[in-house]
Amino acid sequence: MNRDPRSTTLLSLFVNTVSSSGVVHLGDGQDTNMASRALAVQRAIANFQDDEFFFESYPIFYLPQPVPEAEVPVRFRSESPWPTLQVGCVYALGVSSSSTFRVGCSGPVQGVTRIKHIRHFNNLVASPAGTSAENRDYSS
Amino acid sequence: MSSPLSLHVTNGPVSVGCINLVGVSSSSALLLGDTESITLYSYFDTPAESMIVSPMAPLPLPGGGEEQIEP
Repeated sequence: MNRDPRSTTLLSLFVNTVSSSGVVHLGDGQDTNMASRALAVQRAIANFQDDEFFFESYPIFYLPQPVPEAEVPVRFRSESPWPTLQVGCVYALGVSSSSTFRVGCSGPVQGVTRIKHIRHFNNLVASPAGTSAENRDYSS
Repeated sequence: MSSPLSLHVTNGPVSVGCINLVGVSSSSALLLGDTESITLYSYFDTPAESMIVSPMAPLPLPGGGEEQIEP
């Protein structure tokens, strides 16, 4: 691997929002492991009665992930005659959902995201306009 | 037995002017620098069965067996 990691010069950095375990990292580091799970439910009518959201209900959250393996042995060698990466300005609106923005050198970066979408509507038949919640028959 | 593959990389000069970025999200990465390896997975599940048209009913419990409510 690269034994002489380069340094990075950054003129300016602006990041508006860092949320949901996003990381802005300035400097060198070792391994980076990121994981994110989301159960995105979009409903016409909310249900606040009981807790019904379980990751265990959906196979996408527990299926094993394939691991790519290096099949061919490679004798790798790299050199960096120019020791500095020069970057001007960086303007980032958002860093979110277990993502990383790093200025510097690092070890292996690994990230896993699993997202399940569910959309639940009530009566789409008699709805010429508006949402299904607005067109709901409340008389019954 | 052939000799192993030999790969010699010479990193050239890198000079970037300006990066305008809307978002980095869902286990993605923006790296200004060197790294050994990058492995990023994204599982995104929105099948047709994800759209449920039915009266208001709670989602199934983990031990229910069925993944989705039958409409």
